Amino acid sequence: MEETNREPLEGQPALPGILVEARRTLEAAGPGLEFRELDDQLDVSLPVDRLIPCCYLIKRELGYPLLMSVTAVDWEDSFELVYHIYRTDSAFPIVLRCRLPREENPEAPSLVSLWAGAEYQEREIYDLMGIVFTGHPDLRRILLADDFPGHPLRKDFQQDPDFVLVPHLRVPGYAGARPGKASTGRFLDE
Amino acid sequence: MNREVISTFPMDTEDGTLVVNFGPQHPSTHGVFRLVMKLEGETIVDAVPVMGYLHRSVEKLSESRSYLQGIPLTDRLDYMAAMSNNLAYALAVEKLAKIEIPERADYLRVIMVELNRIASHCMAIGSLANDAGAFYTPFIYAFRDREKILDLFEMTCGQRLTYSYIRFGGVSRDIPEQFVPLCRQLLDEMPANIDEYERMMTSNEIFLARTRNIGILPPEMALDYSVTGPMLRASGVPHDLRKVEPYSVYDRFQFEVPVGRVGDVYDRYFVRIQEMRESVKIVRQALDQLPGGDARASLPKVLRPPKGDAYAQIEGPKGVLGYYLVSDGGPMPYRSKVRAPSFINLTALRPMILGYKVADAIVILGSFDIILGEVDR
Repeated sequence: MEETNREPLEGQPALPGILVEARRTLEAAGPGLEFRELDDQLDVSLPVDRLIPCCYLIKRELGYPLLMSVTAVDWEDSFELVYHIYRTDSAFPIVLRCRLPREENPEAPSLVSLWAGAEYQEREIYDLMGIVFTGHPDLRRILLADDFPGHPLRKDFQQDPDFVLVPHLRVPGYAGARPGKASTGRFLDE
Repeated sequence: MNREVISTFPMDTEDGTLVVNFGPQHPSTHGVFRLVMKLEGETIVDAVPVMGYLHRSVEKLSESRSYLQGIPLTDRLDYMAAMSNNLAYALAVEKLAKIEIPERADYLRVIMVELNRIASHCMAIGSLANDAGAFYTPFIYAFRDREKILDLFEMTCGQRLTYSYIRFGGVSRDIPEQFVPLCRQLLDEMPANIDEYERMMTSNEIFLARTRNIGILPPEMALDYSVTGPMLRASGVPHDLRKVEPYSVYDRFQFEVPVGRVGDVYDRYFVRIQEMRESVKIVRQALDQLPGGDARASLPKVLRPPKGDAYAQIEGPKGVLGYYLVSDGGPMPYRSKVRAPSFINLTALRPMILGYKVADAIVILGSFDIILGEVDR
């Protein structure tokens, strides 16, 4: 089952045969892709507008059915989206990396149309990192409260000390949600 | 309650449908999971899963803790199988920092993780029986056996739930002397105990009526929804990371990967039963082959992995459990992401329960075997 045939490329570390084929297919699809080869994964950096076409190729032509993990990293000057895509019969993933500008709500295309399994993972990234996935069917916060201020996994996140999670403890009219009277913020303390 | 339901579930019920709020405080949700369902009669026409009640920002917390301090955080994700979480984290750190571990540690890890898989599956089928209406009888039988496994863990690391036993560089300490004979005794008893569960459930007419052809998940859909673990195998896809990419020393053991045929609740139950039997086989082989030597590699006090990132994943009891760690060369991870199987499997819940009756939705959710500590992180 497992692909053990390794073809060494010139001046490159040995890459499993299955990934050599993947690299050829992706290279033929157009310019703009940067490849970094490790001995157990094919690392592809690509501009964000090439994401959907490349994922289509990976899923439909190369036969990688399992989008294992979607995540984002805040590099302070930019965001990086990281996708791990697997086959069911091979241990060697294709890893896609996309850089996004560091702004309030950077946009990336949603992969839900290709892999339904991206739905909650993208919602989580939107919730915690503030990246907006265009074309997502239901992009809402998933782990935090709907009116939570900010995106906590960002490196510059500052907690708003006035934010009160429980809506009925907030002073009406105060946008930032300050605690009521002498409230301690306890749930039944009204 | 009404106001809150409508605020997250804006639906008018003038068309005769009924909005039912299920959870977050409900025994069948296995924690604090909330499901808002729109019903027509008893049939579910729409559903919105709501989660996050147990969110403790584990990923953010681990950015301000050293790699070693990150281990106790992993225990608290899937608290029914904390050994698996420890192992996935340890493998990711070892990949990132390129640490070699002694062979004995690898075997001890496999023994602990497989025992923990049995304990976790005990819990899964016990609570599934509960959801199907067998009120607490199979559950207590399953708990009886889980208890013995927890005793073994307590003997080894002093903890019954949050072990922090598997660490990068090996395991925290070697097993005590009595461990091997007691473990063998448990392994000898276990097949008969599993037979006992089967006598209660496998061909029980009520259980069959409640689980067969309910919540069918076709294999293409399972893959599309990134569903992994026993759920994916019950749908007929023989994807088991212990076979596909044998981490640790799994390539040295003989075991089968059980798969289902229909992909319904019953198959998910039966795959778990068979997996428990396979785990017993693996632990037995691991005890037979257990080499001597150290159980821990010597490491610097403060680990500073080189710049870079690493993704390591294991076959946890609930599915593929992965850790993605990014290092900036410092003593704390720059980013630590958990690929939590329960969370991602839940993506498939909504399409799977649409069209079924409310009572079936509870059994279908039970067959997912979610752990809210892991869903909400």
